[in-house]
Amino acid sequence: MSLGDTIELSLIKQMELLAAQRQGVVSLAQGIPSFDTPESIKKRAMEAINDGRAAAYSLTSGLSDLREEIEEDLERGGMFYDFEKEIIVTAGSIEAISATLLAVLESNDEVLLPSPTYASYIQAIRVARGVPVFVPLDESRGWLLDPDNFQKRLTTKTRAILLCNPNNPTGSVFASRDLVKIGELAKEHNLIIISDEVYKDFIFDATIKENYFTLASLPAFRKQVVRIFSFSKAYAMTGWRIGYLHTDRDLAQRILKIHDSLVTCAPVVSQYAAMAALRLKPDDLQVYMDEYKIRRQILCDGLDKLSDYLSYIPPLATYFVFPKINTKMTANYAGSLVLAKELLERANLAVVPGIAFGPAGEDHLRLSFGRTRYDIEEGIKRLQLFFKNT
Amino acid sequence: MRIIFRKFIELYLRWLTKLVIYRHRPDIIAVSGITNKTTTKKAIMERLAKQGLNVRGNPRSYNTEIGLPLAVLYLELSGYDFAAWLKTIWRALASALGGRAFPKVLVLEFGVSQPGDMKKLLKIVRPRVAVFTNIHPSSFNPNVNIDELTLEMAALIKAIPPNGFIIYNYDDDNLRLLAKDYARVKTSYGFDAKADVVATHLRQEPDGLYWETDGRSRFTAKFGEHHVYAELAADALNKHYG
Repeated sequence: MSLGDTIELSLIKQMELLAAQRQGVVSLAQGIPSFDTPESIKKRAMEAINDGRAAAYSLTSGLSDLREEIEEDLERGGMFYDFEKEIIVTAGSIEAISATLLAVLESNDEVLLPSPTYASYIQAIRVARGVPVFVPLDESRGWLLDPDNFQKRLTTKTRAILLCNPNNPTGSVFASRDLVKIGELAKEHNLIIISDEVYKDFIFDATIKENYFTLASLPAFRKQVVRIFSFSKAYAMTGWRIGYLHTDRDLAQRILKIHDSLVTCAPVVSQYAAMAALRLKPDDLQVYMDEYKIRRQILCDGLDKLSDYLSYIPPLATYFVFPKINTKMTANYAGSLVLAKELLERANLAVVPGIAFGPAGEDHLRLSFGRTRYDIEEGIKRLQLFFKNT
Repeated sequence: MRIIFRKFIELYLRWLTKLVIYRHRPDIIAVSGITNKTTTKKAIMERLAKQGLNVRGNPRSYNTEIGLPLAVLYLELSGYDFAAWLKTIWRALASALGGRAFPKVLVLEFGVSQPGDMKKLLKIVRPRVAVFTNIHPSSFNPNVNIDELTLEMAALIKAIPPNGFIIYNYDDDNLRLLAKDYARVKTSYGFDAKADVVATHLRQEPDGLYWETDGRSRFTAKFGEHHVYAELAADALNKHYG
């Protein structure tokens, strides 16, 4: 059987496809910001197009000017990486993840990943002929990592650990002490840690944001860690497909060869756009964060009214809430996938079933507050109607 | 209409920049090349600041016909709409005519991406010192070849006054050729033993880079040889300012 016969679209995209066929549907499914890309970013991209700079390939690793700016940006975050040899501009974060997995995995190598975690990781691991091994997060501690659980699942085939921090779909921010333990584990067993930090700018609490920790900032782990960032979420650029990865030189050069064979280079017009994004000031983005905070509150207030059916941990980051389904209160409950499909059929509301994010996600739903206030309010109304009629 | 307005803004800012430079007469150091300008500029600024000199630089993106004057006038662009420009026009005037405090040294990135860029920048600011990082094909603008970029750098060299000097990367073949024809004061840097300021014993450790210059151990927590080059350029400049 070829991969094309065995790999399925992620449940997130499946739900979106089903939703797209329905009239009047409200979607709180896919994690797409409702905002348009900021004007200064679009302007820079248009200038590049008009100047004829976007028509040709860039270097495989990306425009040197962009990589230099990324290096400076990383420096401000206490991370020191060489733009010439250690930073690669990618076609979004999923290409960075795929290229890394393809570069480091041998057939049937195992990749530890927390559960619940971002659905597309599972497919990316399978595409790289790897085997996903789920390590449950601790819901009772706010969906935090339990390093002992990672230790218990290590085998001779374990090759990598794939983390999403802040975590999609739970909205949790992993504690530095747990991350360091995972780092030590990786070092001891010669594992690669892929740290997808696409939601790092979506931390709502100022103190937590200030104390945000990444293993990529510790020189001791630089050979272990591949850190990945995408412009998609923070700058409302999901359609531009632009992100980057950085890691120690030798590993970066191995990944570069795969990146080259996959995409040659990231879309050049998007690279110019990314340069403009990096030049935005924190204040320029605050307006979006303020709005997301309001939307989070609207969604959480709505869920509070549904506490008989759904309970949730308020997300510290990302734009998702991941409520647990009270299975006893839900008539004929047959799993989160069936429930999500029923919601779509009967309430015309698209959500993502928790099972999409691994076994520990079962009996949960993922609701996005990246959508407009109207969508969130309407979505809550439809949820209320649905549960009250079951 | 927009083109006319833009031209007006450029001329206006250029005039005010000349005025402010005439008033305060700062020593101007231009940092040019294809890559590594920002890192080199920062290394130079840190070194000069350590000597107690009042130094200011331009942000990376402020090396255009509008950005460079704004950097000299110490202004930020507050947006692209008409109201934002009006605000900038007013602030530029206030900055040029008011305020007595001004840095002794300006370290300015001179970025070029197409033929004629350097000439435009030199119309705004005339540096006394030029520091060159490298000349290699630019991925920033695939429509420009290396000969055109070299000519841009040559234009900067020509603009250096008799009391000025140049600092250049000896390891860069194109820069070495350019500097060969420069008869005035020049200082080179690089890993090549023939450079005036030489880095030796470079090694990368998990915590950063170690090397030696003039028999002294040096270290940076950063990664990439370009950081060593930036420090070497600052060392070379220091020989003139020390």
